[in-house]
Amino acid sequence: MDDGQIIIKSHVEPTSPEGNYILQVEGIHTYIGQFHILENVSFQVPENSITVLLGRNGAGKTTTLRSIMGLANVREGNIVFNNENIARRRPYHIASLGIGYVPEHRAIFRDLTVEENLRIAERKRGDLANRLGFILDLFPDLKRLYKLGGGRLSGGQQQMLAIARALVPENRLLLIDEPSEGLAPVIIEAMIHAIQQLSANSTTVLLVEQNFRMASQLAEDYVIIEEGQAVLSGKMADLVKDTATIHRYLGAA
Amino acid sequence: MTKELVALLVLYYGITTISGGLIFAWRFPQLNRDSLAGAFIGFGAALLGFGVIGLLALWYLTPIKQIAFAGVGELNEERKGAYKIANNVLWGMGAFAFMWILLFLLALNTEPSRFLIVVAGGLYEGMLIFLVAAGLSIIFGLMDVLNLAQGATFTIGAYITWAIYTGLDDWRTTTAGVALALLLGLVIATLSGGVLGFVVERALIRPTYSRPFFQIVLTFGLAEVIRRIIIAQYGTEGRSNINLRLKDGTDTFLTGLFPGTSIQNYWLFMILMGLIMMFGVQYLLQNTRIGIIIRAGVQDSEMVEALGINVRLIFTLVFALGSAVAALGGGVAIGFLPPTPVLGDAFLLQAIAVVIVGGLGSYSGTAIAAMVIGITGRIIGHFAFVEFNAEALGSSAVLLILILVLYVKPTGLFGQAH
Ligand SMILES: Nc1ncnc2c1ncn2[C@@H]1O[C@H](COP(=O)(O)OP(=O)(O)OP(=O)(O)O)[C@@H](O)[C@H]1O
Ligand SMILES: [Mg+2]
Repeated sequence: MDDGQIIIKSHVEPTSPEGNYILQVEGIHTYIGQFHILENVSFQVPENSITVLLGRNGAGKTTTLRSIMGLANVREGNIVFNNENIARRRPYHIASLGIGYVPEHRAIFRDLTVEENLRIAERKRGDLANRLGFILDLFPDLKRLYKLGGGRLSGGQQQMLAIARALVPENRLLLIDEPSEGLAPVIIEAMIHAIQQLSANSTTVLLVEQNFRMASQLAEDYVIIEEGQAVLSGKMADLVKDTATIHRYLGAA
Repeated sequence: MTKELVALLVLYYGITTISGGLIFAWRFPQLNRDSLAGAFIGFGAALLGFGVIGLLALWYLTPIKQIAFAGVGELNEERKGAYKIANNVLWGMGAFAFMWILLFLLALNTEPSRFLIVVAGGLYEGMLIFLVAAGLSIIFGLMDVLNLAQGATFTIGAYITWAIYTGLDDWRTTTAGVALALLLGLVIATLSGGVLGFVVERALIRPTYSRPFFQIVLTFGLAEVIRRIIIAQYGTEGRSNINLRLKDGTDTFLTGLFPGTSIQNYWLFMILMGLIMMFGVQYLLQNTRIGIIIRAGVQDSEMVEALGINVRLIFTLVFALGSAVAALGGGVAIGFLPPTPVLGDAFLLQAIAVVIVGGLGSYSGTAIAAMVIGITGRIIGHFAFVEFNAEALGSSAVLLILILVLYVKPTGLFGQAH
């Protein structure tokens, strides 16, 4: 694995001194209807690590993820994934390049069984068979719920299923929107463990997380969004020490 | 828990049907002439007789009672799911009970041969309604589009099959020739319906997804255009029935009466075609990848797209499929109903009612509602004929049922609140 990365590094023209960014958001302007929601948002996501998007309620975090996924109307700017501009492409195209999306509010399919919820995410035959062992190791609960209807799972179980679903195809980047929302601490621990596992498996994660403890435990890098603009970004290790900034942009944490 | 409940229901209906049939066969031997009628009457009586016992057993043996008394608000997610299913099962039972009671009344009122005609007539009509409603229901569930051209597509299917079959008049020297000519007509009608659906979705529906009102106007207008084209081509008169006999007048398996009954063979053919489509589409929805995608898309098509699936392509395919099934319905109908420019329109209205009664977006609800409404319409038509000499009142029964259902369960019998 290490060798592979070194080879890749030597072939990619570095866009910044730090080298490998799997995703670069460059000055995007996103609209919902008439409303100008994101105004000139730019940031980068380094490969093979976890980056967290922070910001108050309504700051534009979800809209940022939806813009990347092609689900929102990005009128200006570029989004470069893996050297390809994906701004204004159709969502299915963007997904098939290797981006998995775990939306807010546990958007699993209620009328499908757990198995079908996973199977629908296959991009080629055999995806599920290949990844099932890994998925059930991460979320052992799903084994016993496998044939159950998605609508009958508890909130935490649905959240696990939503993440599991994004793991079925081989994704290089996962966009995960508030996995801890409304979950018990025990389940949050499980979630943290799962996301760390993913990152260890060389998947890049861009996470939206209001739970600062969880965010700081997981992420190496952060980006703060405030009123539709990316106002600050850097290393999580530095932010944790900077209580003034935390207070200013995130309120009491 | 729900599996047990379903098993119990099946057991309950099975036992009551068989025992009821036996009791009636023993009690009223004159009914043995038509054993099917005996079974139906048995069923009706069994429902009335054993129904109370059965429901009491259900009440005490299953968690329905706790669920009903707990109130939905106090239930956790898992129990809520169970409640919803139990609730829908109960409504399904209610719908069937209603139909069986009508059947029972009918059986008391008629002699067996007439009884069978009414029931079989209701069934084939239910099937034809279903063939229009299936597309309506799935298309509406998946894309929120009410395709008002579905009736005109039915009519097109009828005319295409008619034109091909009558064009192949020379083939009517052998039974195989008749079957082949009809089959060819049906296949080409179905394919044409599919192509029409494909073009309509691409040209009219796709540019207007964000404007549902435009879609209603456009599909309604399209139906009118199709009607005008048919009139220009074939006149307002309508055509005569196709002749499914051989040239020398010999009956084929598609004509004449089913041995020992008063039912036309062709009715059974229509019912069979309906059943094949009903279970075929059910299989497609339950067991294939595209079926999983459709069911998921009914709930959240944006999420389906975000998984890497080209949802617009799926929309087009489903639209084409729905149109193809409707065109097949028209083709099947002309063995019995002569094609007229407005043939599909009556079916469209009933199909819309069926989709609403069955619960928007619920395929099995649509299938069941089509049967119930087909049969109920015929039975009420029969009574209206006997009492007022006005069989046509039967179709207004559909409206009555629609109002009734919307009054007691606004989401339709099998629908869930969105
Ligand atoms: N449909 C809509 N119409 C108009 N404005 C909208 C719409 N949806 C979202 N917005 C606005 O866009 C802004 C960003 O919303 P977004 O959902 O991205 O916030 P968020 O950072 O994810 O918030 P939260 O932490 O509460 O999930 C908010 O101010 C919101 O009011
Ligand atoms: Mg959000």
